[in-house]
Amino acid sequence: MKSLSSALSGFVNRFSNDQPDRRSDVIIGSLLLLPVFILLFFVIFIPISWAVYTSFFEQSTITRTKTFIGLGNYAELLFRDAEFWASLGRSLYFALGSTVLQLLLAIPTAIILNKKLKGIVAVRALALLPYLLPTIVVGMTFLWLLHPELGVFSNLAQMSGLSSGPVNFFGNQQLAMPALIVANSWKYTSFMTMIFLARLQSIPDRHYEAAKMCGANTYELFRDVTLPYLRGVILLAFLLRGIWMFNKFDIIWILTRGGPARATRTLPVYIYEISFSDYHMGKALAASTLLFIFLLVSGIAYIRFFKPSEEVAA
Amino acid sequence: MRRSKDWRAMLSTSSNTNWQRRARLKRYALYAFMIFIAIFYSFPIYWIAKSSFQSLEALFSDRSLLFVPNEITINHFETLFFESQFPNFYFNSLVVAFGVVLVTLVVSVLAGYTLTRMDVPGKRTIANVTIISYMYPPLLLVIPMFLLWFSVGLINTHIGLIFAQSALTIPFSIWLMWQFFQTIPIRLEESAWMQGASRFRAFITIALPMAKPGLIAVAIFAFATSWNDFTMANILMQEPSMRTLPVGVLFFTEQFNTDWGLVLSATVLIAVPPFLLVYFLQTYLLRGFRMTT
Repeated sequence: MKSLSSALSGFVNRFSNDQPDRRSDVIIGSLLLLPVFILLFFVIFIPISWAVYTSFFEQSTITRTKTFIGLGNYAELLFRDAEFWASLGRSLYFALGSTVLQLLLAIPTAIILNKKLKGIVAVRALALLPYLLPTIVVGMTFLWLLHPELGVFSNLAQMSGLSSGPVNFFGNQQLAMPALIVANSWKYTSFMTMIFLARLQSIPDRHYEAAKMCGANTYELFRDVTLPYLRGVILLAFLLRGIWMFNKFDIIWILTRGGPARATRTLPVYIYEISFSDYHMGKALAASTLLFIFLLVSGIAYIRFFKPSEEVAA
Repeated sequence: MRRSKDWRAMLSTSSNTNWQRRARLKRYALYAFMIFIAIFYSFPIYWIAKSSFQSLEALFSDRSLLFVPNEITINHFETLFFESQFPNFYFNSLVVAFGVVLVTLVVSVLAGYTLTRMDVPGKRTIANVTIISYMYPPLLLVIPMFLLWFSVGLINTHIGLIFAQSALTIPFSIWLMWQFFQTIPIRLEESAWMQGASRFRAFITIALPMAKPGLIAVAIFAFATSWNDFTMANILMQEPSMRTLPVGVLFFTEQFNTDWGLVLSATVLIAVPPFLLVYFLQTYLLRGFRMTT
């Protein structure tokens, strides 16, 4: 009672003189946001605008000589560089393969992890772990597991008679990309699983009970209760992860460096090589800008078409 | 009383034949799936940990796929600590990771609080940066950074890498804290103001403690991103003594012949902090993930 009266009198006081009003709010708020804007300006805005600016120049990575060539870099990439299109195709293969595999693994995993089973908490923690393991750990682990002479899987394939000799997963032009996709998905399935799990936990039990009362079987429960709830999150995860996988550089560089014989040279790997092996920084930045535009356009088109955010009305 | 007993007896006799058995089978299938998931995630980790304690001779001769090694040696770890640059890499990675966590926390709390509690210009800009930041290729940032950092002397420095990696963590962290502050009722702060507390005091004593789960989620995300980062460190840390763990360890595989002893033991030790994080912060992690959807 006492605190209420003091609150009331405080309220009256505030109202009469120094209540935090809108004008001072704007000033203080802007001051607080200033460091945020300064940092964003220096680490995101300047590098990106500088990158776009430099993409109109012929510039070497080592020497600082700069010649303005307008859209020359873009024209070369789009019309005279077959490797640009080839690497874009490989990026599509890698990104689609990874995203689809992750979806296919993450949906059933999330459904199982959502069940009340003994020891499920420990398994949930285990399923979260790969996402926090650095790419270098995942890369080295798979390099070891898939080593042609010393790796478990090559040895297993030989012992079971599936293969007559050692299997060189990352050294074989046909196997390298699928092996990369598997290694990459082992790490990132965790992320999708956790997002789906969080969504599943928000489905009220009574929906399932009502459906069961009406005689729905397991498949119908999945199709008519679970899937509609997951739809929005799946669409959103597909977009964000797809873009993320398209931009992936680290695991490919760590495991194959784009080899063998260009088999896994995706666009980011190609850009890195233009910049740090051929030293054509201007061309590399033009390629990055094209990649960015490509992702931006397909991202916007995807959002327009599927409207994923409308479905995630949490 | 009697009737209910009858009912139960009837149920149990009829069910034993059909749906109860099916329910039990379904339960077994679920457990089988769960065990499969556990093996899927733990086998690679177990296998590399096991191999790191085996001598090179055993690794090269042993094809028996033993799950438990015959003999255990810590030779690889000794070589790693006393004859390689590994401790140096570890130090660099830790310094950079803590720097990134600090910068990210300060920036995301400032932004999150201001954006939810005050009516300021720039909300839309920050929201747009967040969305677009999902799409820009990290290479588009780091290649220009390489030249820019070079001209201001930030190449091969901890500070330079901290700022570079912050560009990766900040957009998502701002968004996370923005969402998080929205879930904290403003009424509590308002009543503190009414009782004469300053805005700053209400923020420190009320808003910040209530935002703790969000802060922990942001800190974990920033640490994991920095600990994971290869792309930026690979380009911005050219000097061998300044390399972080991911870049340093990749060079173990480059010296004409991969030294598997070094690679395996280093890999195990890089995985230790993420293990500890998951072990101690399971509940926070899951709550943090729930926030993001």
